[in-house]
Amino acid sequence: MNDLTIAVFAPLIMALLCFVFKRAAKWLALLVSLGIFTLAIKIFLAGQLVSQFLSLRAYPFSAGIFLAAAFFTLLITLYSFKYMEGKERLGEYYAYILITLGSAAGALFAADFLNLLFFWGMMGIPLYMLIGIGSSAGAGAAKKTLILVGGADAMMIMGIGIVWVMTRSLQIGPSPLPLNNVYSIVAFLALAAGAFAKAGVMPFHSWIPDSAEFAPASVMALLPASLDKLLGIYLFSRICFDVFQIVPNSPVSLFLLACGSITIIAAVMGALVQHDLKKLLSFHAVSQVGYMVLGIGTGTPLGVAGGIFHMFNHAIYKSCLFLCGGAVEQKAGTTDLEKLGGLAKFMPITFTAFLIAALSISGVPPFNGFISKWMIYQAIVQLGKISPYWIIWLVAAMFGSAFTLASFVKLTHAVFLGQWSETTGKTREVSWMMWLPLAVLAALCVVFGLLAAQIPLKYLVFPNIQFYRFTGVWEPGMATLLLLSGLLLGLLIYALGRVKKVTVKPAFTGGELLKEEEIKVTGNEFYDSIKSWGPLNLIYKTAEKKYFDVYELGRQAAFAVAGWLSWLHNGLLQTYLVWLLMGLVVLLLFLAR
Amino acid sequence: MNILLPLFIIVPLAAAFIMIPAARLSRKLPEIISFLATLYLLGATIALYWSRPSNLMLQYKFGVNLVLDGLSQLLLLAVTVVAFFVTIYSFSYMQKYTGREKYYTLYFLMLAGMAGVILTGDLFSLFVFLEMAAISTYALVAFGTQAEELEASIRYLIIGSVASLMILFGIGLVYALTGTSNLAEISRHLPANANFAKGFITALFLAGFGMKAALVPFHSWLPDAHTAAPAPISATLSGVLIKALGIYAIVRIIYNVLGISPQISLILMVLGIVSILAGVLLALWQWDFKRLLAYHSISQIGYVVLGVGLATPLGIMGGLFHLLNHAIFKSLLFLNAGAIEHQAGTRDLKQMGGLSRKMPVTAATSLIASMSIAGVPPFNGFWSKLFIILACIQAGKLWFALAAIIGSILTLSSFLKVQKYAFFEKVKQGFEDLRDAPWPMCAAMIVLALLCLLVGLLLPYAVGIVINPAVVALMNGLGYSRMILGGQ
Amino acid sequence: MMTFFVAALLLSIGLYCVAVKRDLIKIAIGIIIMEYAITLFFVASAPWRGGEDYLAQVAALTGLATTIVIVALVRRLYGRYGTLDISQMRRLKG
Repeated sequence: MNDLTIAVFAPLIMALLCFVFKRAAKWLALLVSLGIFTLAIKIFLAGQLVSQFLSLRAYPFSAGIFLAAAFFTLLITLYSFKYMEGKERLGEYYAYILITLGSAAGALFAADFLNLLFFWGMMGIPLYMLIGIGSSAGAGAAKKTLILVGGADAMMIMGIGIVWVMTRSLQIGPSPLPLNNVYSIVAFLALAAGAFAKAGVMPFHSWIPDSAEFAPASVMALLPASLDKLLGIYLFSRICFDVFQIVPNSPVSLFLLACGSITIIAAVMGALVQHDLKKLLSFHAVSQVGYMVLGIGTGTPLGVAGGIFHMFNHAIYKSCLFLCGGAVEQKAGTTDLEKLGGLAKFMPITFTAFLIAALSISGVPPFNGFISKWMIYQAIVQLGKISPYWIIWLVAAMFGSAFTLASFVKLTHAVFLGQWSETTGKTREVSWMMWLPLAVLAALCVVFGLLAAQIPLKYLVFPNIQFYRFTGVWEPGMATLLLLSGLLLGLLIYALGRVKKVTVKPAFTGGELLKEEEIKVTGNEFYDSIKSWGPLNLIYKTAEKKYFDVYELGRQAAFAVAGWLSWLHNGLLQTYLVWLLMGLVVLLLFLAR
Repeated sequence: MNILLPLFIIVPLAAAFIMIPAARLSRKLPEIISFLATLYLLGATIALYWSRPSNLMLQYKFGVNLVLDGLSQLLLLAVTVVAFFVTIYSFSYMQKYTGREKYYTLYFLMLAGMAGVILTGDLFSLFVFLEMAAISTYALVAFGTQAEELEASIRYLIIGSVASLMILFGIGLVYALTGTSNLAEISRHLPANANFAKGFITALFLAGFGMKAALVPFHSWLPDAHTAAPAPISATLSGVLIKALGIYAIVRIIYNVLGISPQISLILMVLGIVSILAGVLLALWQWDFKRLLAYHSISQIGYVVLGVGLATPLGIMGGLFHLLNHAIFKSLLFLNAGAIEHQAGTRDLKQMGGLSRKMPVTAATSLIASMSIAGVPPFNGFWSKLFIILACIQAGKLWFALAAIIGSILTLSSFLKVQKYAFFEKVKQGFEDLRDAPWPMCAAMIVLALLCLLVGLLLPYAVGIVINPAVVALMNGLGYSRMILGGQ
Repeated sequence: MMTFFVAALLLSIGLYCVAVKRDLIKIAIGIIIMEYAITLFFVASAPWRGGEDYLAQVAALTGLATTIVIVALVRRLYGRYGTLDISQMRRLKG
């Protein structure tokens, strides 16, 4: 048995045991994820590894991503011990986590397209079940998720088929196809759809916010926030550089940049007006993936490095944020921003971790998100030498960053600062099993930020860009300027959204003086004015009617045709006989001549 | 060995005829007889695979001319597997009906008819066996004798009779043209310049057998009949009958007797695509669980016809593999629907809810079957759909591939709707002390679900042993006649 | 040749009956007429194959079996619906 085969099959087989031995499931899951994590380190250190059985192949890029995936699975399994305690169907919960890990290994190490598609698609069922497991109301969100993700997987078959016919081989790589004819572009788009649906790029994003409402926070942290992003962007960069060749400033590259920019802006605008902690975070999970697509879509080495680095960073801070959200949910009993507040006093570790992750996601130095966003900005500026549109992407990225900061100011205020609310009451810090994963992730945010060049870029990112020609043109002045302008813009927008002047006056209701503790300023209405501003109002209203959701559009189109077809089946024998005879006549006209 | 082939028809016929006298002796006897008979059929099919892994022809001449090749063997496997588990399931399910011995009589008549269609080497006896199977299904659909069941049955009967007459007319023309009804001899005696007559006959057969296979626009009987029939019958109808009577006959006659041409290939593919899309769209609209499944049968049969119609080795392989897989997962789904109807007394998805807590076996097996039919790995439906779509792309038919993919996405949506309304959500009032189905029903469902998983995982073996001989038989085309009769 | 015309005529009469009439008895008669037409066709084409026509007998026999089932069903249907009008039997649709 090869290490790669073990990495794929051990979790899958152990998952079957979890279905049977429900009591021991959590210990099994912890042991297996610990074992797989050490195995992942071994594979990562080995670098290159090939398994003939099932044609699996590991190289530094996939091994690095698998290391990250195993790491997140381990942390989140540990977190789930306390977080999921007392919930029903726990055996299944841990089994699905292990199935996810095993199929992620299969998808990452797949050397040919059939293996990739098999394991890629296999991640759909655990995702569906994990979202649905949370509550009986989650079935709708779970259904939508699997339709979008599974549908995109089906689209991938199209891409794989075309690549197979064009190259006469099912191997991924090694000779990239040029994107110069309609077939290869169709194949590229079909494969990208699979990657985009998993990562949550628009227009396949809508399952993430929908499922965030119902799925347990640990599931959100494991799948949409980390594993699905890692895998989606992994596949995306594979198809961009191993299967096809993205040339900077080519139409496909521009299309990807547009996709990335729209995703960044639209999702962050969605995030601004959310009233639910988990749902707000999930919109950012969509928005941030736009940066990765933006980075990789440039097609330049720096951009790709930035995009991939952002993927790792995002997985770290976003799962940290979701885990903090879960901690808050457990202690306060709600994720409604209206009802939360002032938790910093009671949950200092969670608050610190949340703050660090929030600053990272907003791209504030010296945390990790800053470095990767900086690399992406710079790649776009570099792109300016050959493409006139660079300014659009740059503005989109910066606006996104500004809005992200604004949105996290609101969130941090609403959850941890301000007055603690009556409904949640006073509470305590969560158990160590829950805060340890948060703390580790927050520490990683700092380490990856401060030692970016020494650790993550050197070991995780640069070895993967085989054609890397990084010459050291960092242009720090330009970048700092961009960053500062981004921050300023954020502040500006933040200031615009606020009341101009603050005067302190005693508050009365019905002639009685209110005590200070009874006045609660929740953060959740900070940005409601954005919603009511002219053109944006229109966009928000359209979005609320789900006109931007491919799922809804497809559903309505399908039902229109289905209703008509159903009406045709009127239960009258004569109608049916006429179809039979008409069918015969048409066949006769075609055949008998 | 030689006696093995006629026994596939004789055993079910004998079982059918001793059923009613046996019921007088003991109330348990019909069930024991049916168990033993279906067990024998399944064992004999597996023994056939065991003893002849190669794709040899095997024929037997005694009054009727029986021929076994890879294709008939594949169909035989599907029929006997489904029949065996459906019989076990029937033990519990049919308890609520009276006259169970009549049910088993009709059931075995249907099995004998299907086995006859699959094994016969003669066009005319194919028709006789087809009518035998068809007439017993008319009666089986009406078995409950409620208004809806009778209504479904009469429509099925009238449409079915018209289609049978088309087939009979076609057979008459073939006979008039060639002077023989032996499948192997027809292709030798067809006049070379009789293109008009050949086209006329092909059209008649396509429409007639297309009605048996429920291809759009000849499908209208199927949703009614499958909804009204008792669940084990729906499972057999959908799982194997439409394939044995419809697909097998079309494929055998088109490929091995009349010869496939690009024109017919295109017609088959168009019929397939129209069936895929119309079937799945109609299924999306349904709230009756069994009716929804019935429309999905139309859609999935479309995949089989699309694959087989491509006339490339990969396409035929995908199509035939999908035929086998569909037999497994669709009969399982109908058994699931029957289990819910048996326990909760409803087929309306809106009235169900939260059943996964109350009926865990049904919920788990139906999840597996739903994922199989939707083509989600690691289950069997994934591979066959993948092969069909890849074969479309390989043949350069990108639009057909796209339509097949869209059909697949819609199938997934429809089954996730089933999962959501039936098994997730809250437990409805009145279902608080619902229990899972009796053990024979559960056992049948569990084994079929395991088959879905195993066929998906052991893909190379399934394709190598079961599917490839059938592909060879079809790719051989008109060489069929040479294989049987010898000569040039 | 005359027999073929008669067969074709019978076939169209039967088809008309089945496709247009609403009364179940008339539809059943239509199907029976069509069966006769096909049987007649078999008989008429028998000389082409050297007079061997057990096929026509078998065709007539299977037709008979169908007829029996139709009659039995129609009787039951009359009991359930109280009418023989097929257009009244439309509970299953959609």
